[in-house]
Amino acid sequence: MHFLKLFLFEEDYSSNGVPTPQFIINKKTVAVGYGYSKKDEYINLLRSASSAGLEQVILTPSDFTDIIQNAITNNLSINKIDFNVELDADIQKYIESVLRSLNESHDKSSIDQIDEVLLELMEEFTYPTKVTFTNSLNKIIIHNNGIAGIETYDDIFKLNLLLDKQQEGLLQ
Amino acid sequence: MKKALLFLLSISYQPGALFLVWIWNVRPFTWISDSLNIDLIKIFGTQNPITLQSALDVALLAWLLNLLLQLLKILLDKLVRPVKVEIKVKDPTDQTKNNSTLYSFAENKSVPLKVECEMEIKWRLVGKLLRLLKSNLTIAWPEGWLSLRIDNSNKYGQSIVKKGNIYFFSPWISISDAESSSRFQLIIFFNVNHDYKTEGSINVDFESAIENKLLKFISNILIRALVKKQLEHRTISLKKN
Repeated sequence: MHFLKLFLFEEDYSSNGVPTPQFIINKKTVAVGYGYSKKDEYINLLRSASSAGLEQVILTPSDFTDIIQNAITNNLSINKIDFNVELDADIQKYIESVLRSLNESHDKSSIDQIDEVLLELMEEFTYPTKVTFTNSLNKIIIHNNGIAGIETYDDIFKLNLLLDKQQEGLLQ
Repeated sequence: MKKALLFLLSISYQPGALFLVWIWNVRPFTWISDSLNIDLIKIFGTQNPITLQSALDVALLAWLLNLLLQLLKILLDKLVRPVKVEIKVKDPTDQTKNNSTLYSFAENKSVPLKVECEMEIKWRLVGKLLRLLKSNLTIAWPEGWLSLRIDNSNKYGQSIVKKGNIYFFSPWISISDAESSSRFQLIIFFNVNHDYKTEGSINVDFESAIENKLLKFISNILIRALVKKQLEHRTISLKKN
């Protein structure tokens, strides 16, 4: 799997000093590839990116609702939502059933259900840290600190679709 | 500020009385004794009535000034500003209770915090004025060092404006004129961008969002006079590896 870190950039961003590969995801977001197993490489990436004026992407629960909506619109399945803490078994089951019906029927009410449950969980400071999607056989992972995982670089454009802003201000 | 002023006055009223007598010739005892035709030489049998008179002038003046000071203290204690705003940045996972959050740069997680706001408006008119002055809850963070994002910001629509490293949140859209108190909370997520700096803070305030600098300055003075602010900021410190 290839790992990418998502950053926000200003209009006058120059990619100097930031490692490659770099992919422009949309008008404001750039994805930079790095070796997942090498901790130092990641830390150095953060340092060089911030020196170049980049800011890390943060995805909040409501952003994930938008991303899930985008996934459904673009025929991607949602496999799993990981949270910062382990969920109660019944909530876990509920979320799984909502995701199943979302993947099968693509209906708007399931999105609202996801939105509601994420909002309620946030009250208890429980929030999604990672969401896994599948595109035919390939996995796409998005973490809430802006780390993304794709199995082939061809899936970059899927990442683009997932992070597409249907509503203004998704990524600030 | 209020305490400092009272302290300054309490240590300076005695020399102040001396100066008033000496330089400006403010002599309350002399005025009284003159108007009542009191003869000090007769009463005290003193050889030096001028010195005694001056001493009595200073003593009486000091007493009067002290009386005024005590009255001012009572007045300031009674004087309550018509609006109370309490804003706190809370971290439910923080065990230390010293308003600071430890962050592991190596783990590089996005961490949520709660911004709680409580408003009490005693006079409706003042509420209207604060609305007019565009008083906003503000969340500011060290630019470049932190990334910060309000959860559900789409839901708030026009209420949230981001300018550089400050979020302005207007509570007035969801508060009607009739309401005398309001309570709300925002969830923010932050992330540390680099470890060249190891400590910084997320600061909250209640201030004007007016664009014009002069108008903003005046509005902020008015807001400060009308609003009793209780602010609890949050320090973010990087864990040592």
